[in-house]
Amino acid sequence: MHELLLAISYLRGRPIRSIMTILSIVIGVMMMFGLNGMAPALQDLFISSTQAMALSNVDLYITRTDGSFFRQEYEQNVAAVNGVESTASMIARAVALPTDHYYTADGRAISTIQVYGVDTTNTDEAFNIVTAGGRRLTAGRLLQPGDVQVALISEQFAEGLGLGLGEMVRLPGAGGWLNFEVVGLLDDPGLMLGTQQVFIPIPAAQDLLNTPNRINTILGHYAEGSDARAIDAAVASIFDRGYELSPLEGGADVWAALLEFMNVIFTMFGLFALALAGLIMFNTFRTSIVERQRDIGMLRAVGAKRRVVMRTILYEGLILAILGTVLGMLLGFAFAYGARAALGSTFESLMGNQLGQPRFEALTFVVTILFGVGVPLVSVLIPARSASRITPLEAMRPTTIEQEAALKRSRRIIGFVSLVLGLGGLLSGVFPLMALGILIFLLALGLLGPLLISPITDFFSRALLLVFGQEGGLAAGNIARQPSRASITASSLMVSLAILIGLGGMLASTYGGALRFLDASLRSDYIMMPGLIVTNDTLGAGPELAETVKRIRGVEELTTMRQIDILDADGIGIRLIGIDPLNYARIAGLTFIEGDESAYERVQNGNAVIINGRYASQFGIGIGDTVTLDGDHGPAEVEVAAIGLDYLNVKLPSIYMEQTALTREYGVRNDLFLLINSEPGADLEQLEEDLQAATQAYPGFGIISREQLRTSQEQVARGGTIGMNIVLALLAAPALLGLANALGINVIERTREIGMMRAVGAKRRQIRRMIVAESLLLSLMGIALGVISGILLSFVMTGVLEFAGLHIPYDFPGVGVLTAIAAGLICGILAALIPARRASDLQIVAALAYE
Amino acid sequence: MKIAETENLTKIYGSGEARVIALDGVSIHVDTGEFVAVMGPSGCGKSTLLHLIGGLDRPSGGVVKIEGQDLSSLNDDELTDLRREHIGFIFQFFNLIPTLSALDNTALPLVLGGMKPGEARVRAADWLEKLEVADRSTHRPEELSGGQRQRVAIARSLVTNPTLILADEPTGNLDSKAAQEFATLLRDIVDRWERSILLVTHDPRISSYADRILQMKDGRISEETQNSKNNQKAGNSKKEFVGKKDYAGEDHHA
Repeated sequence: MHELLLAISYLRGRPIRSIMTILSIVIGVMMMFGLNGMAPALQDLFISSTQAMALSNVDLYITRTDGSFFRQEYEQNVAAVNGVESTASMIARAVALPTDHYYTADGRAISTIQVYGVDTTNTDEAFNIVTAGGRRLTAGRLLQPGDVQVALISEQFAEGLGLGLGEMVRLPGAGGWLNFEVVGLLDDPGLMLGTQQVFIPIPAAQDLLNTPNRINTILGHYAEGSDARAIDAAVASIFDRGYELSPLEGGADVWAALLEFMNVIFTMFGLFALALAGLIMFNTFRTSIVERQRDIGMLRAVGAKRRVVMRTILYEGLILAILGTVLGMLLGFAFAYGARAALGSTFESLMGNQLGQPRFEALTFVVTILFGVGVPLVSVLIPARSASRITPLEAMRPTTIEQEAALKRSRRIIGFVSLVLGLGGLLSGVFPLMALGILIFLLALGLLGPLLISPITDFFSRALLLVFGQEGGLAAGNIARQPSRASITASSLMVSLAILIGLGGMLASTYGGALRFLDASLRSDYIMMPGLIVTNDTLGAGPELAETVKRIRGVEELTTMRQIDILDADGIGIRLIGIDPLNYARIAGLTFIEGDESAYERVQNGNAVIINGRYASQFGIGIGDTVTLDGDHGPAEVEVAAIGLDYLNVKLPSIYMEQTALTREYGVRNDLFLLINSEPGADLEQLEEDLQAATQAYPGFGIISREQLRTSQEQVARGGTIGMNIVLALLAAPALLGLANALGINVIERTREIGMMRAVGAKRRQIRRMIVAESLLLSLMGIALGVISGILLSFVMTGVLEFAGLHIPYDFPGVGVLTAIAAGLICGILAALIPARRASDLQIVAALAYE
Repeated sequence: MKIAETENLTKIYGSGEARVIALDGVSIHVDTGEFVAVMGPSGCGKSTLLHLIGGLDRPSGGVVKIEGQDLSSLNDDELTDLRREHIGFIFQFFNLIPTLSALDNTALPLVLGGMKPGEARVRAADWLEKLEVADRSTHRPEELSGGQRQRVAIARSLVTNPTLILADEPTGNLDSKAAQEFATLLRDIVDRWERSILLVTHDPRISSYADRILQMKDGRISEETQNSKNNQKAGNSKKEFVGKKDYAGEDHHA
């Protein structure tokens, strides 16, 4: 117990240091907790459009894992399974729309229409998605056999459109807008904002979505006393690809994976900030132990055992960690709710959906507390151990700040070996080794940092002498006194800046590369495509649009692209892209990594496909290998003719196949992209007007010229830069605190020395300048090391993209480096503000008497 | 001529029940070329007196004059300039900067005053030479003995050619032989270079080198003793007083 009291008294005796140390923990915890609190709301937002309605009295609710359509005959196959009593077909398909088509009565945009195709021939109440799904009719009637072009919509939707019973509602279709007579109004389903449900007969839905004879859901009842497991096995044998028996799982896997990824990123962010906090705590405690050497020696002399000393220090760390974690979690709450309030409306207008309130799940609490308390506590272990080794004799020695002993030989050897290994990994060109290399490289810098302090100090001290005069020289001497401490302090800044430059470099390369790539691969003059593309939820346009466009005066030629995202047998998302190979080659064209133009001919003949770089790297497949396409007519092996990329499809593993094969095997009949070339000498203004007019009938479709696309991509790049600056601000904060803490400790430690300087004639201003110079010198070291490792990191990160199949030439992160240098210098000046004031305000007599 | 003088100097710490009168109306002076030692038990106010005369602290009442200049009329910067140019300090713990060589430690006050480092070093080297530690000028404090460190500290206090040297228990960290050497050195500073010294010490062997000894008790000067020249030069601890003034019974608050 007395250890706890001792710990509390020490922390209270050094309030500023305690507060700054707590702050460094607070930042990490806040980021980890706050961001993870926002994740569930984001998840809800994303999956709301894919969520199906629950039917409680249905035994079978069969969908494909990827939510894709299958032939309607499957229903008969399922019905024929022994033990299945009855079945019904259904379509449940979300159609994502740009937000300028529908509005509710209160003016909110509707971005998703969930189209339900209802089997009106089956009168089993349990299969009725409307009534069994919990919706209540408020006016008119339900769907009935013989219905054709009729719809049930919600009262709210009808009100927004100003429609009543018997009037026509215009629904977005692949072949253009289609009108449906409203025969019934339903109560408000309480869906996420921006989502509406529409119920129409199955044939009408197939017409609307251009999926003739295809459905994506089968409902069924088991016969009484049947063996559910046996039925499951029989159903499995019917479907060629993965299927789900639960209504909530179909199609949601992609989002679940996205959320998991988001969680990992958020946690990594927080962990990174916490690791910096750990570094700061390690440094703070280490120096504080040196400063308190005499006190601790005295404690030992008067009878405190080693473990008492160790416990006292650990208690100090624990108290700071707990306070930091609690405060960080409170701020995390505030951060999440604040971000919700600030970004809510932006999300609403972007996604047409309401962003839910932050939700803090048990796991978030556990992870945050575990790391928030654990990381700082682990960082204090080594200082606590060294404190417990202080002998009572130390109490007798005068406290003078001696130079640190030369770096230990073992540490030097490990440092050099790590450096060689790290560089080896970086240059290996093998992704996992490169990633490992960067970690080992940073470790080596940490170990060898103290050795670099002297040369770096010498290098910069000339400049400091010029700017700060003799105070600069004194500052350099002060830094060189404790190379280890200086190196740890500088390294927290180094890590922040390295990541900043690394990210900046990767972004610069990606955007630079993407724009060059766009110029090279997207050669068509115009692209006609939906304004919003949400994987399979985007409707596309039926082939009539292409026919219409072909007839427009000034259009020389066009080619179309269709696509579908599926999950392969292992559950990995794959994009299948249907091209019209020979036209495509002429109008747009792939950038080939392996193979050449001759591949188009083979794709055209249907006996080969082209894969993109991402697919090749993910599955380790090259030219001559085969891929299995598991379509409606069963698995078929096709050879890979080439590896190539197009600008629109670089992120997912993709296969380019002949378009009619995609339609035949996967039922994809709608075009997602129309790539159009204008005739030489065409009246472009008129052409653009005509093209725009052609898209009017197709919900969400628009026309964009290559130049416009380029401009919009440049805007995205600028957005990325803003994002990078936010990351920078978040990363700079812990580094700033670390720097300020170390300087503060230096000032306390040198109190008597500063008093002497004041006594022999140093003015307050000169003391301030000396501390600022020290801070700048420390940040210059951080900057120097950060820039070197940042450039390497950016090189590696760009290499990682290469590994992922994106062939992007390396762009030097010039802007990142300049930003990092500026940020580092600003950090240096800000960090010095309080310590410099403290030092210059010291009362000379008290300072001289300081022990 | 009076280099330093105080009139009715008072220093009070704290207030209410915690009020401590550290100095209680002290009036003393130090003449040109005079070596004055202040002695007394711990807590009698001798260090406070030294700090006030050195302009390191502000008095609660009374006046401090250095070469006729009233310190109360100076702001912090002016006081700093005065300290640097007119006063040299020698501390018990030497207070040398560990990262600077003996030469740079000595030159520090000159450099702080704006002198070019090269010029300052030449002057500092001169003083190290005079104090017989020139051969250690490139060494850092940790490489010097206690006596050598104190010599460097003296060189630093003299390098700006101050008229007054203030020394606060300067032999507290020295062995007896080094302390004697140090006292001889102080005597030399007064005799050869005509500086004035005000020294605070517990050690009668050191104070015996002074021209005058002020005894303090409870914040007041209780006794003043004039030392004979013979005693000073011989460093003899046996005192032969040429004069003695007893302050007891005088009214300091007049």
